[in-house]
Amino acid sequence: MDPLIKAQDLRKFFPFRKGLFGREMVLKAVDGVSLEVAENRVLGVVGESGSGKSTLARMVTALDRPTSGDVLFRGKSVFSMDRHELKQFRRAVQIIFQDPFASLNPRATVFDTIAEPIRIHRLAEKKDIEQKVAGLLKDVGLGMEILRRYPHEFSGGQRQRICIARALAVSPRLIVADEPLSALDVSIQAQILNILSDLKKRDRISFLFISHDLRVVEYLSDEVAVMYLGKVVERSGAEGLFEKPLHPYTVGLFASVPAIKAREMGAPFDEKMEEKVEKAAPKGDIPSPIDIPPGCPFHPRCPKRFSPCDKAIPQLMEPAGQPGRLVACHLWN
Amino acid sequence: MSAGMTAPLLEIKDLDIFFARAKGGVKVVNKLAFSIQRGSIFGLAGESGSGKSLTALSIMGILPNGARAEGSIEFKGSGILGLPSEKMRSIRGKEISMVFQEPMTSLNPVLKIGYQVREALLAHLPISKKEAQTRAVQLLRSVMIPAPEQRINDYPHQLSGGMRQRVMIAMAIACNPSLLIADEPTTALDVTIEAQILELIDTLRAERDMSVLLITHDLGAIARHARTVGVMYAGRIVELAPVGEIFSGPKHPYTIGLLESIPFKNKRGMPLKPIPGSVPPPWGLPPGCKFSDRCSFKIPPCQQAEPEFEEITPGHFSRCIRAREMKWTL
Ligand SMILES: Nc1ncnc2c1ncn2[C@@H]1O[C@H](COP(=O)(O)OP(=O)(O)OP(=O)(O)O)[C@@H](O)[C@H]1O
Ligand SMILES: Nc1ncnc2c1ncn2[C@@H]1O[C@H](COP(=O)(O)OP(=O)(O)OP(=O)(O)O)[C@@H](O)[C@H]1O
Ligand code: SF4
Ligand SMILES: [Mg+2]
Ligand SMILES: [Mg+2]
Repeated sequence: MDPLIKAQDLRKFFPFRKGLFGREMVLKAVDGVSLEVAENRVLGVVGESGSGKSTLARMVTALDRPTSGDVLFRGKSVFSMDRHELKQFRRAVQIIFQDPFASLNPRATVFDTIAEPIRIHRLAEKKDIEQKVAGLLKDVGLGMEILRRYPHEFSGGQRQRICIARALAVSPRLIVADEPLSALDVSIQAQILNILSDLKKRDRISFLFISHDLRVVEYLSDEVAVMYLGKVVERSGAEGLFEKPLHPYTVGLFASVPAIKAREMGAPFDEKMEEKVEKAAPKGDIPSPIDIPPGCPFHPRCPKRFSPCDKAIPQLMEPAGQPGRLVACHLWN
Repeated sequence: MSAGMTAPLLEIKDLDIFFARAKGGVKVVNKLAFSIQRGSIFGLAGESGSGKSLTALSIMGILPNGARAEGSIEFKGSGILGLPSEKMRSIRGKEISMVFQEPMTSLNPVLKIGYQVREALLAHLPISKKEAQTRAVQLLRSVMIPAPEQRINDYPHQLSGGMRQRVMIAMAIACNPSLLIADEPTTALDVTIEAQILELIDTLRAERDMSVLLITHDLGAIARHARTVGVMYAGRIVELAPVGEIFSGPKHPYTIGLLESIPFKNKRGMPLKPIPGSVPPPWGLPPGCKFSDRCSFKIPPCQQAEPEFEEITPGHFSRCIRAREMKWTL
């Protein structure tokens, strides 16, 4: 069976000129990304700033056309859909963003905001709209009393709930969530996280969940893709990945997350133990996407690099003895 | 504090911060008390709006217009709250300095970074321009900026976010301060860069026997780097303890709620138990315990009087009348 959504070798290049008369160059924001999200699955995408996560999200939701490659929705290319099919696609695939304020119309009430997609897609009789909106608000833990209020009257967490309610209004099959929690305080993040995992269980919605918060990704995802400078460097089931990351970048990324774990056990302050953890975090700066290093994009920062790394680009492949996992690293190829 | 300890570098007692408003004042920081030992990192945690930045600004003596602080802030044994501004100027930047969240707004975009670091030195030290130039390069090297001799000619926009934060740290430590205040120094940065910057601050602390007030909402950063932790809620420190105890045996329902909100490995597939509701504004706080409207341990006395900040076990303080019953552990 076709997966719900499938990205095939997506590329997005932005041409630019260095200086007024400089040579024309390209910024490779996304460079050959393939992935799939099946029904009722959560694919987490992690990666640092500039790795191409948002660009990928915009192509998967057909907000942007790729430079090359394709996005298939239930086996059909979204870039060759007719108007009717595209409308169905826009209904089935919803996107929520990091900044819930910027994505709400400041002059629309909560009711209008959530009712709009219901009207556009004619999903309820006029007299039933209010009841439907109330039901959606309830799903995200909000009450009827806010129907006539405006976005500026709400906190960040409440606004993100309103955005989620709006996305749910059209009964989507896939929600692409681009850093939906990063503007929120931890206690509010946990509230939203509960809402999202309920939606997965209750409505069997799939998610493409983008975040730089590894704990959140581990909590929510079935599978995870790790991006670095426009490429997926590792893809795997979440449990295997967090249990044993294979790509040196993934290893370093995980080591960078301050471990509460040692403290979880009530360990006393121990500088030696802390040091061991620190040594594993990758050194150096993330290169600029206009100057992607040749060969493996991670090689300048990689503690494991060897002769082929600065010459040949490693392909995303299944390493011997690691079924079901994909790694783009010469160590494993 | 427990006996046998040397006098703290910084000691804050009964600190209140008010904002003048049309209808009377609003108190945004309330009876704050904590101290920072020499050479150690004090982590101040808490969600947005809890008063962390204002506390930092009051130590620096740079509260925004309309804000007023009362109480006592002692630095090296003498009071610095309400010092005349020229006296405070000789402490600020020299004895106590600060790194902010967004380095781009605190660096001057039209001046080369070498010049900016040099100026930070010349403002407080009786040295020549040439000497300042040499020291600027050394400082940039000590914050691990590669090829500092060339980098001094760069403008801020030519540097990555992580590099800019390193420059800010170089300027902050230029005069060998005994206290560095870092207010969310890594919030704008990537995970791997965040790890590097926190590690840098910790290394500088050890090398220079500097104390650090590390402000962050990231409990992970606190777990890794701080020695003592204060958890703020609604302008109060509700719990203060050695770092291990905060995670192994928290004694305030708010701290427990924060820890319950973190999706740890063992929570996969299980619902989290977040704190219900959200932080009320400073003028909408409940009577008695300020956390009582969101607290799952609440009993009727909680809303009658605000709980005292009590020492539950040596060095472990909590502002909760049920603190001794808290048995929660990660
Ligand atoms: N419209 C555009 N024109 C030119 N460059 C772009 C455009 N959109 C994105 N880029 C560049 O493409 C690269 C990838 O950007 P993208 O926003 O996808 O990264 P990201 O992984 O989402 O980062 P972040 O974590 O900061 O959100 C960046 O270097 C960005 O500057
Ligand atoms: N200039 C100001 N005028 C009025 N109120 C202010 C001002 N600055 C801060 N406040 C209020 O004081 C309280 C504490 O603010 P503060 O900036 O110290 O919080 P914080 O803990 O640093 O939060 P964050 O994590 O968002 O930085 C907040 O309720 C805030 O709204
Ligand atoms: S004093 Fe009462 S309301 Fe406040 S934290 Fe303790 S139990 Fe909760
Ligand atoms: Mg993005
Ligand atoms: Mg602040």
